[in-house]
Amino acid sequence: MYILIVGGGKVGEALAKNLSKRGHDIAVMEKEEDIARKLAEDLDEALVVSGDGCDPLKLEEAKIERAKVVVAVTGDDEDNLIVCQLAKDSYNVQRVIARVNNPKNEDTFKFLGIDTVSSTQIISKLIEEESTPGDIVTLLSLKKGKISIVEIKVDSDSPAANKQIRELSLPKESLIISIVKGEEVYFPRGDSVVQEGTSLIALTAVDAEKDLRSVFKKRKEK
Amino acid sequence: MHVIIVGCGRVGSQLATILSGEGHDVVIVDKNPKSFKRLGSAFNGITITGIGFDADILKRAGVERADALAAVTNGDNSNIMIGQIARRMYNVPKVIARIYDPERAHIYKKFGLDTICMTTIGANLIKGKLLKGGK
Repeated sequence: MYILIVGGGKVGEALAKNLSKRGHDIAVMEKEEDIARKLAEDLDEALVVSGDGCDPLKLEEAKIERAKVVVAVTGDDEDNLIVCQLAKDSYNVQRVIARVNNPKNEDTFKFLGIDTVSSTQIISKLIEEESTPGDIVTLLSLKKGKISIVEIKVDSDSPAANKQIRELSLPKESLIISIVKGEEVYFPRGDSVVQEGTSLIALTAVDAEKDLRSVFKKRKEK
Repeated sequence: MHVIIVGCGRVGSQLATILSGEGHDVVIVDKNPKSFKRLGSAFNGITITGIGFDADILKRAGVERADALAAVTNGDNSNIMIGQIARRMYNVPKVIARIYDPERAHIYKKFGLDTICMTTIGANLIKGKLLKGGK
């Protein structure tokens, strides 16, 4: 699959390496000539095009009409937006993804119909989780961070300890998908009991995570 | 008229001064507060320091009730983004985006954004002057 990456910074470079390892055909566009030259030396597999990805003529030079996916990962949100709009509306690229540096711009991108990944949001969330241990731990983030699979340890002081699953008022957008006790994994039904000392694996909308937490964790004293 | 001008460069500051002199309510936005020095003494509008495509800044500038907006920062992409936010998210009746790159100006005009390409206009004007009154 031919994938065009606009922006040859750290994200663009890492992405190019990973995707070409998976056998994709990659081109990277970088507007700073020096960086582009260095990239061309470092990336054996990928084609490096020196030029501004917001310039339609340069995009054509990078064979955008062949691209199945266009990814814009420069450090400037306005540039990422324009690259994606040009790709989508002018060249009919089926899949376009923009990196959003400032989370504030996410709504704008969404409104204008461009799919985003907010690196800032993801990193801050990861760091927040790492720095608050013992809480709910995210095992896997899915659908661009909208839903996640999380692990919850059930302590003896948990309000849910030794209750049946059906007794818990779980948020609508959360589902307990397994109970882990030591090495054993159970697939719970409504009458399964959440014993203290076990771990639960749950699928949850990120927005519902707070409510999910309150079902299992004692409210922290302030 | 309530007019928002984003970008207080040569064009933006002049536009702001003229409009404000004609009695319009002008709000001018620029990320660099020093650029407001360009505004003449006749300017009696409001200045806001901030990024023009930040929806919060545009709201502070009154985009929800603006009659017109001109995006004249020095970045084509910023102007396109600001123009689209004003036109499509806030339905500002009259929105103009200044774009240097003729190619992008043409494409976004096709997509319904009112664009002005100074490069094309300038080239045509100069051409007209050069060829007028020749031998």
